[in-house]
Order: sequence, then C-alpha cells, then structure tokens
Amino acid sequence: MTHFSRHMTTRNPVWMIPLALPFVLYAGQAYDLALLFSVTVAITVPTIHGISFFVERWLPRHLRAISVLVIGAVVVTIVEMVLVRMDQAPSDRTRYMVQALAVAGITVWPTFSSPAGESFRHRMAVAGGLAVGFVVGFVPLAAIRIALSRSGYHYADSVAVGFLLLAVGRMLISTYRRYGSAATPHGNTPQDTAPRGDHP
Amino acid sequence: MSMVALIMTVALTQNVVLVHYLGIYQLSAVVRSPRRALAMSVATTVALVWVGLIHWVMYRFVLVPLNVTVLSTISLTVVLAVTLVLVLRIGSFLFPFYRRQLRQGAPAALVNVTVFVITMALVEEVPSLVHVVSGALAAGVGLGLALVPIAAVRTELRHRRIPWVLQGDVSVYLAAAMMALAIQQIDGLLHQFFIPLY
Repeated sequence: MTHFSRHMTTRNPVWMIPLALPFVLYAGQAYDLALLFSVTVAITVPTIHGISFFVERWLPRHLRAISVLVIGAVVVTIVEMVLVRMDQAPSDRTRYMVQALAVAGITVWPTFSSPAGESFRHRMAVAGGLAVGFVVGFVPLAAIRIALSRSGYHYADSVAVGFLLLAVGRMLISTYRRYGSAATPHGNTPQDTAPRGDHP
Repeated sequence: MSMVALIMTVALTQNVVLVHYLGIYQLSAVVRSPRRALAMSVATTVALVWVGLIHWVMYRFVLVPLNVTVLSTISLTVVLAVTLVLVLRIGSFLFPFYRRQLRQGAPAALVNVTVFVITMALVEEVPSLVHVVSGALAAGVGLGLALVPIAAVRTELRHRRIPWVLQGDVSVYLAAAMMALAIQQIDGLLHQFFIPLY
C-alpha cells in the first residue's frame, strides 16, 4: 500500500486519525461550506507542503515547523484574498475556520511526523493522501448531515449529532475491519483483531 | 460586552469543544486520562493567554495603524511558530529529561485550531487587553470543563465490560456527543442573556 492510499484509508484524517475534525464538524452543515472546505483543503494542503519542502531543506530540523506555518499562513491569506476578490467574502466564523487551516493538524502533522531525509515524493504522497482522504471522508458525513437537516431535523447541524454520526461511522469501520477482512487470504481473523482479554 | 458576559460566553455558551468543536486534533489521545486532559487544558490556556497578548499588541499597534489587517493570519502564525520554537529550546534547556514529552506536547498545545480561532476572535472583537486575557482564560477553563469529564468517562469505561464495538474512539465520541447535547440545552437557556462573540 502506497503512502498516498494509506493516508486516504487506514490513516484517513476524518475517520481514522481525526486531524481534521474541527473542519468536518463545522463545514458539514451546508452545501456551500462543504464545497468551500473540500476545495480549499484539496488545494492548500498539497500546495503548502510542496513549497515548504524546499524551504525546509535550508533550515535546521527543529525549525521546520516555522517554515510550514508561515507558508501555510501565506497560502491561506492568498486564498482568503481570492475569495474576497470573487465577492465570496465569508462570514466571520467561516473566515476564522479558513484561516485556521494554516495551523490545522491536517496541515502541520506531516511536518511534525516526517522522517529524517524524507523525499519530496514521500511528502507529497502524505500531503496528497491527507487532502484526498479529507474530501473522501468528509463528503459522506456532510451529505448525511445536510440531508437530515433538509428533512426537518434541525439538530443535525449541532456538534452532538456530528459526534454521533462519527461514532456510528467508526462502529461500522471497526465491524468491517473485524469481520469484513476475515474472508481475504491475508486478512485478520476475528480472533486476531479481538481486544486482549476476549481471547478464549 | 461586560466582563461577566464575555467570560460566560467564551467558557460556557460558546464552549470551544462542545459548541464549536475547536478541540485538540488527537482528541482520543488527549482524553486518555483526566490528568492528561487537565495538563493539556492548562498548557492550552497558558498558550491562549500568551499568544493573545502578543497578537493583540501586534494587531492594535502594527496591523491596524498600517491598515494591513489582511495580514493578521500571517502575524498570528509567526507568533505561534516563534513561541513554539522558544518553548522547545528553553524547555529542553531547563528540563532536559522531559525533552521527549515537550516535543510531543508543545506542538499539540500551541499549534491548534483552538488557540488560533479564539485568539483571532478575541483580538478582532474585543477592544481591551484585559478583556482579551480574561476571554483567553475563560476559553481555557471551557476547554478543561469539556475535556476532563470526557476523559473521566473514558477512564471509567475502560474498566467496565462494554461491547468491543464501543471501545476506543467510539466511546470518546459518544461521551462528547452527550456532553455537547447538555451544553446545547444550557446554551439555549443562556442565549437570551449573552450575545454570541462570533
């Protein structure tokens, strides 16, 4: 499994390693917010890491964070200015969330966890996988919440229902990982994946 | 906005975790134990106050007079990045045996959406420095009020026999959902008294 596909699936930033929960819970309330954040994350995360990787080469390892944070802020500021120029100026709360992409886990985590001597290809695979994984994981959650909200269940916009849907999703994933992969030749059996203490 | 209204708004009716979910990224790791959740809340509160102070000075005395408030994201991010490097350097020098914990904890406490959004909102919406500091402290208290009970529920569930499908992150999400529901009811009651900050 490549780094790209791993960060889309087993390390998905929405369902498996929740690095993007603030955006998922906020943006999954309306179609326009869902579209805005899907496009913004898909563009900004690979762009930030693509530029930052070359700047980081000139910096000591402990200063890598400065590079990715500053470049993240510049890219996000440009995105914000483009939105204003297009007469799509977001509300205060949305603007803060768009700005927060500069320091979000989904943006800075690949830098903090990168191995020494990392190649450009590896970094872009991780960043691209996270960005695509965000969109892939976010779209179904947003679709369910928006559909529930449109059908008259107004609490679907709340954080409580967002957490509840995430919990249900994790239950489905756990069930699939426990039983769904048991039929494959190299899959784990239910006994392999059972928590310690449940073994006979 | 009065001081009491600001504190109530930031700590309770606009709780950073349970109303806006601006929580720390690895929520499940942070709420592994009440002690860890408390430590992370205190660290984030200190970060909120420090970053709020510096960014308020930058915003009011540099960005606004020069009419370049559009650069506030870059300004705040530079403050966060420089603070992170200083904390790691000074912390590693003063506490060499805790270097590994510092390298793991400092980025999580400092570079997160909570610190960013709360600081940005307070500095732009609240006029005085005293209010910014009070609001930052209240947001930190709100973070602790949300994280510590969730951690306590998770710790308690770990010692109980629950179905395997509810173990791990699922129990954290369910605990957070129930607490968010409770806060939502309190929010509904207090909403008529306190105007939302953002």
